[in-house]
Order: sequence, then structure tokens, then C-alpha cells
Amino acid sequence: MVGLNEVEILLVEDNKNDAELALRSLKKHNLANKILWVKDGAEALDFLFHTGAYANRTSNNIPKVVLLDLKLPKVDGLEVLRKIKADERTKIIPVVVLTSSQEEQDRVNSYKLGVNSYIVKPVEFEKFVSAIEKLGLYWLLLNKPPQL
Amino acid sequence: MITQSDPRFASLFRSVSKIAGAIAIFVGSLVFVGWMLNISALKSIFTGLATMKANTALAFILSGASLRLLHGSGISQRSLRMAQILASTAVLIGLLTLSEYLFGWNLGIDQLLFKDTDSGSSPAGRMSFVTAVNFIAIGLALLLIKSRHSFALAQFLTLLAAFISMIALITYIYEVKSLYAVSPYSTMALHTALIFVVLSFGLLFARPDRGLMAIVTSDTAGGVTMRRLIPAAIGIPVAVGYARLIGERIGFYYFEFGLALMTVSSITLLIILVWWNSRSLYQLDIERKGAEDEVRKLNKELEQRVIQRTAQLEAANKELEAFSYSVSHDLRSPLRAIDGFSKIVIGEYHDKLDDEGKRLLNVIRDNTQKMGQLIDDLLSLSRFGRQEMRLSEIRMDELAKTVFEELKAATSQKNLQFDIKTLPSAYGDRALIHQVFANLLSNAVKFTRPNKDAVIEVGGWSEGDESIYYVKDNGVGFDMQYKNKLFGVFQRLHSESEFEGIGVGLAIVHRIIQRHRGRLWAEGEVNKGAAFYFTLPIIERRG
Repeated sequence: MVGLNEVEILLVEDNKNDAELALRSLKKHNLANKILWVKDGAEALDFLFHTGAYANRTSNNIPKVVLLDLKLPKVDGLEVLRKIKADERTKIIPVVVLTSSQEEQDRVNSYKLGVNSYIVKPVEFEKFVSAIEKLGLYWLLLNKPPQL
Repeated sequence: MITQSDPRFASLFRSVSKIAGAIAIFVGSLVFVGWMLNISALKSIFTGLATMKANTALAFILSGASLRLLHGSGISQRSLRMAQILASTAVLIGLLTLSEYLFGWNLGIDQLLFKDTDSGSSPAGRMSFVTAVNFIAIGLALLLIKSRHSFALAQFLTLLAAFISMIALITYIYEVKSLYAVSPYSTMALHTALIFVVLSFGLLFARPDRGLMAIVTSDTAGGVTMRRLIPAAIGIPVAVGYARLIGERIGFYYFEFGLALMTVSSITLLIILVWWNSRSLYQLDIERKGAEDEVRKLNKELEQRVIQRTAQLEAANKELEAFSYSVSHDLRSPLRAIDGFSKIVIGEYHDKLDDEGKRLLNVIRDNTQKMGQLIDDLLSLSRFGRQEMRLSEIRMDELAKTVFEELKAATSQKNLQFDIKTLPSAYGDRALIHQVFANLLSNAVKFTRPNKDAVIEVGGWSEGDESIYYVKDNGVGFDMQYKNKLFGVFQRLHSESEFEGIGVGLAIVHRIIQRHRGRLWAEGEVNKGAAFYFTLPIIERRG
């Protein structure tokens, strides 16, 4: 388990198979050690806003990227995205929607809410792996976020 | 004013008009015979009354013949000319006689046909002043009745003739001798006055769908009123006046009382008539209002039903969307897991698996990938059916070229010859039509793969209110007996080992063309090639 103060990637994914595949892909490139996997939208918000189970989290550490599924239990992905982008403390966090949905309306809504990227999970494993790898490399290594 | 002429009345009126013409000819001819054989009963009906003059009889024959010639919707130019010559002659007779009265000269026309010995009129054989005037009016009306612009004038002249001759006729009815006292009328015969009245009605009825008569013959409340009140408006004063006269003559009352009696009787009769007419109109109106209310109610119900149905449709549509949404999302995740974990097994347990085990896992992977493709295609089929269309003008040849270039870049086939003709522009959703070309052209590329020289041709033309486009190839083609199966979902005419695909492409094309209100069909022959045709409606763009 990663230390809560060093989380670089927040993976919000209810499907444990998808999560495992994503973690495996990231692990191959040593990008998996600072990843926190939460299983629903409520937990994601708790982590980001220091509430609920994460109320005791003290540090101001924010992840370098949030990988967000759209169809989630409790609080759905679009709602999580809206809350992140609406709050001063979290709006600078890059959010990448990582979903199975090819629906145009989801894409449009996500972009309207200020998503930084929208990826449709490929069914084919190789393509999925390569997509996750590219994501991880891009957001963790290539992208330069503002220093806080 | 828009009035609908009731065809029953219109044709009845036309018949009456024709009969009027015939009566004028007939009576005119009888009088003519009377002059020839010197039969005074034909010339004056009752001995001692004014005679109808020979010229008058002639002018009646001319006018009656002219009126009859003018009947019929598609009368020939010759009949029209003939009718005009006849009417002009009647006018001429009237004019010449009038000039004799006005200038006091004698043109020698009065006894041109027959010698007038027995009439007391002076000069002998000359028709009366008003008869001359009436022939001018009737003749001119006949000349003008077919004209578009002077029709109102024709009707005015007709009514003038009717007015003048009614005075003579009614005077005859009331008091036979009194006409002699009114000098311009002095020699107008009883049947002359009668035939003028008949001819005037004939002229009025000749074109029942125009001018004043249009309302009379209309199937409106106005028409009903006119048809009821006009005969009464003519009949009642005549009858009441006659009754008064009789009463006075017998000595029931004196002049002033008679006048009062006549006035009150007229008022009473007219009121009864108006009341009777209004009552039936009133009932008609109530029925009409009832019917209107009924229609309004039905309309409202219909509207309500439309709203209901629309809501149901919307709900069904929403459900369908939710369904495809969850298909899109939920069906793909397990597939990814199957594929992913199979791959992991192949990768990480490589040395523990024999070749057969690896092969089987790869079969699993092949199938999951195919399933993924299937779901994607199904979803795109549903998306192309639902998504809102953004219509714009499309340069079809450019679009086809673009699509072909994209395909060419993606295929390894080298021997493709692409032949694009000039295509009419279309009006439609660019993205959707792009998909149509993409599917048809990729099929063409796919099914010409075995060819040494593949030729793909795109063309089109406009015909009537639609443009027809086609994509033709010289590939493996198909058997025409299966042409109905081409556009169904998951219908394939080739095995997967021959040509890849799951049978959604043409179904998508079909749906897109349907949404554009076009048609789609195909022609083909095994090993000769296939041609796919689709049409798009030509839409008039405003501005």
C-alpha cells in the first residue's frame, strides 16, 4: 500500500479486473508504486477532500493525475469530475477519464466539465496495456504540472 | 371573395340559360311567321295590343342564337366569332332604330322586311324606343359576357334590360291599356317585354360561377338566402300590387287605403319570409356550431393522443439509449478481462503450457476480440440511427475521393484503380454520408481483393426530385437471389475465412440512407462484380 502522502496516481475504478490489468501495466514501467486504487466515486472524493475514511490525512499532497472511470457506484464519474473541477484546491489536478463508454454524450459532458483527457478502454489487451503505459508515462514523466 | 359554386345549381342555371335562348329564338320565329302570313295573334297575342315588330323578332332570334352559341366551357373560336357577329347585329338594329328616334329621320329599316299596316304605332313598323335601348344593352352584354374585365359591365347592362322590360311586363299584368299612355313604351308588345325578361335571366344565368351569380349559386348560407329571397322579392310586390289593383277596381277601397294595405301586406309578407329564412339559417348555424365544437373536441383529443404517443416514444427511446449505454459499458469490461487475463496466462505461464494449451488460449482471445468488434459495430449501428442529423450541402465527388484516399492508405492492395465520375451535390449529414461511402468503398476494396486488376467506379446522376449515386466494382459479386439479405444485420454472403467482417456495414448504410429518406438497392453477378445504388432527395433550399 502506498503512503497516502505520496500518491501520484489516483485510480478510480470499480471493476477489479480492469484495475488489476491497469496496475499490472503500470507496474511493468515502475509506475505502480505510487498509485492509490479506490473503488467508487465517494471514496475518491473522500481522499481528495480529506473526508470520511481519509479525514485524518494531513498532508496537502495532491496526485499528479486522476484516472477516472465514469460508471461508478455511489457517486458517478461525471459527478466526481464536476466536484474536482469546481473546487479551488483540486481544480488543477489533471483528470483523465478512462472508460468503456464510447457515448458521445459522455465525451461532450466530460469536456464541458473540464476533463484533461478522455480515453476509451480498448477491449484488446495489448491496446489496453499500451494505452495505460502511454498515459502513465505522459502524466507522470512528460507533463509538468504547476508547483504548489 | 371566395365562394364555392354549388355544381348542381350552376348546371341548373346553365340549362335555364340555354332554354331562355331557345325561347327567344322560338318566339322570334313565330312572330316572324306571323308577319309573313299576317296572323295577328302571333304579332300581338291579343287583338288591339301593340305588335311585336319584325325587326324586334329578328333581333330576338339573333340574341337567342348568340346566347346559345356562347354556352359550353370549351367553345370554339369560330362559335365565339359567330356569337359576336349575331350580337353585334342586334346592337346595330337597336342603334339604328334609336338614331331614328333621336334624329327624327327615317332610315327605311322599319318596314324593310314586312309592310306594317295594322298597327297603330307611328312610324309604322318601328320598334319602341325602349326596345331599341334594350337590344343595345342585351347585345353589348352578349359581346362582353365572355370577357374577363368587362364582365361587371355585362351584368349591369343585363340588369338594366331586365329593369326596363319588367316595367313593361308588370304594367301589362296590371293594366293592359295603360302602356299607351307612356310614350317610350307605347309600342312594346306583351311578348316583347316577356322575352326581354327571359333573355335577361338567360344572360344572368349564363355564367353562374361569376360576378353576382357566384353568391346565388354558392353552397353557403348566403347562397341559400339569395335563392330563397330573390324570387320572393320579385314575386311578392308584383302579387301584392296586383291584389291591391283588383281590390281598387272592384271598389273595396279607395286609392289611399289601397296603398296602405299594399304597404302593410308587403311588410308582413317580407317579414314572414325573412323570419322563415332566418329560422332555417339559424338551425343551420346551430348545427354548424355543434359540428365545429365536435371537430374542436376531436382535435383536442387527437392532440392529447399525439402528446401521449410522443411521450411513450420518447420513453422507449430513452430506454433504448440506456440499454445501448449499458451495453457499451458493461459488456466490454468482462471481455477485456477475458482477453487480458488470457494474455497474462500466455505470457507469465509460458513454460507451464504446452502448444495446445497456448493455442486454446489464443482461440479464446480471438473470440473475445471478435466479440468486442461486434459490440462496437452494433453500437455504431444504433448510434447512426439515433444521432441528430446536421444537414449541409455535400460535394459528393470530393467526399468520395477523400474516403477512397483514406482507404487506400489503410490497405495493402496495390492494384486498385479508382474511377470517379462527376457526382451531383447532395444535401445531407456529412458525417453519415461519409460513413456510407466508407462502408461501400471498403466493401468494394475487400471484395476485389482476389482480382488482378480491381476497378472501383463511383458515379451518379440526378433524376426528377432525387439524385442517384452508385459504387460499382468488378469483384466477386453476389447472386441476385440473395439481394434481400444484403442489408440485414449480421447477414453475410461469404464465409469469414474468405472475407472478414460481421455483416453490419451494409445495415449501417441502409439505416443512414433511410434516415435521409433515400432508397438503397444492389445489383450483382457472381464473379462479375457488384453495384450498390443509393438515392438522396433533392431538397429545395430557400434563399
